[in-house]
Amino acid sequence: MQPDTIVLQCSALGKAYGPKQALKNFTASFSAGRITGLLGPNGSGKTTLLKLAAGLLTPTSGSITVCGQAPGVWTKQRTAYLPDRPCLPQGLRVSQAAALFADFYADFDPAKATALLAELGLAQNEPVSGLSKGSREKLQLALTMSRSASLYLLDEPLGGVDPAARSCILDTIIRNYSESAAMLISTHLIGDLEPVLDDLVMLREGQLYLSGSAEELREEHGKSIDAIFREVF
Amino acid sequence: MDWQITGDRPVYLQLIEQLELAIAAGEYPPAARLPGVRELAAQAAVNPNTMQRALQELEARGLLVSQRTAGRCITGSGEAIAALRGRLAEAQAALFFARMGQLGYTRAESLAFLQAAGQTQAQAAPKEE
Repeated sequence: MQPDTIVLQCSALGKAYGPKQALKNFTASFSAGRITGLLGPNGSGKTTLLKLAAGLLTPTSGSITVCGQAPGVWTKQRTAYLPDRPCLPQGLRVSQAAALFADFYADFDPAKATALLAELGLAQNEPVSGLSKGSREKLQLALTMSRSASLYLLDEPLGGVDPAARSCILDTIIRNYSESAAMLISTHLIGDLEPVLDDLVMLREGQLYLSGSAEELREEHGKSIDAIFREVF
Repeated sequence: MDWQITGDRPVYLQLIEQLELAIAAGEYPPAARLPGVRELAAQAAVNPNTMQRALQELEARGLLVSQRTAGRCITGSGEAIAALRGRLAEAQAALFFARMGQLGYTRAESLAFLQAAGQTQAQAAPKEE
């Protein structure tokens, strides 16, 4: 994929859980080579949007496409999704978790995974159940980033880890993201993520509140995205 | 090098300032190879596109030289680096007078403070002369 090609396109996208409208009339596009921060308070629709893009939910209105296709088997092969909760079976060791990913995804690079796991200090024979919360998040991130996908969806990759692990995770993201892929990162820890973002999308109560280039917003408002966010919410 | 990036100003401007300082201070010596964009971005914990933009601006200012296949180097031109040091020194001097002005001192009074401080420093570290 060429840089600036639209990877993820949402048009008037909506998702309701029963009477509750989690995402309303959301229109935006996300291009290759750019890292977008998905910001918003709890319950603003961030995870719903990522799950729609990952093909785990179906929209109730509007449309969403990944590389021009509606989410399905074809798009899932090109989408690397990091859920906001532990997703690896407890009974596995680190090496077996990597083997599981290699089995599932044709674009998984085992050599890259081995290198990343070593960098992050995760031993191959360690049982997943014995890892701390921070180490488990590092493991899931390492496996997600070891795919060469067109779209990366990271849901709260910095949630619940200590500041040292946070900079380690950010470093992994910067060094391993691909210029031919689009990346969406949801977070409410804006301060940590801020210098890494090209663009940002702020959601409020399921609706697009503000979007644009991070540098332009800083210039325009004369303050950090973190400060703008605090003002808005 | 030691990066200090804050979110309250455009990041690429902060990158330019800090890279200029490193070049002027000789932390990156003339004609030295600069690490790759991604490596620098990871060191500074910023987006690679933002780092790229800062490097392009420094290239336009003649402080970095792009080599087709071998990445980027610091300029080998002593004149360009001397001009940069001069520009940074002028900015420091202007800042000093601006701050003293805020405290209500005239230019002449400010200059007297500067000379006195220079003499104190020279006495404290006479060997440097």
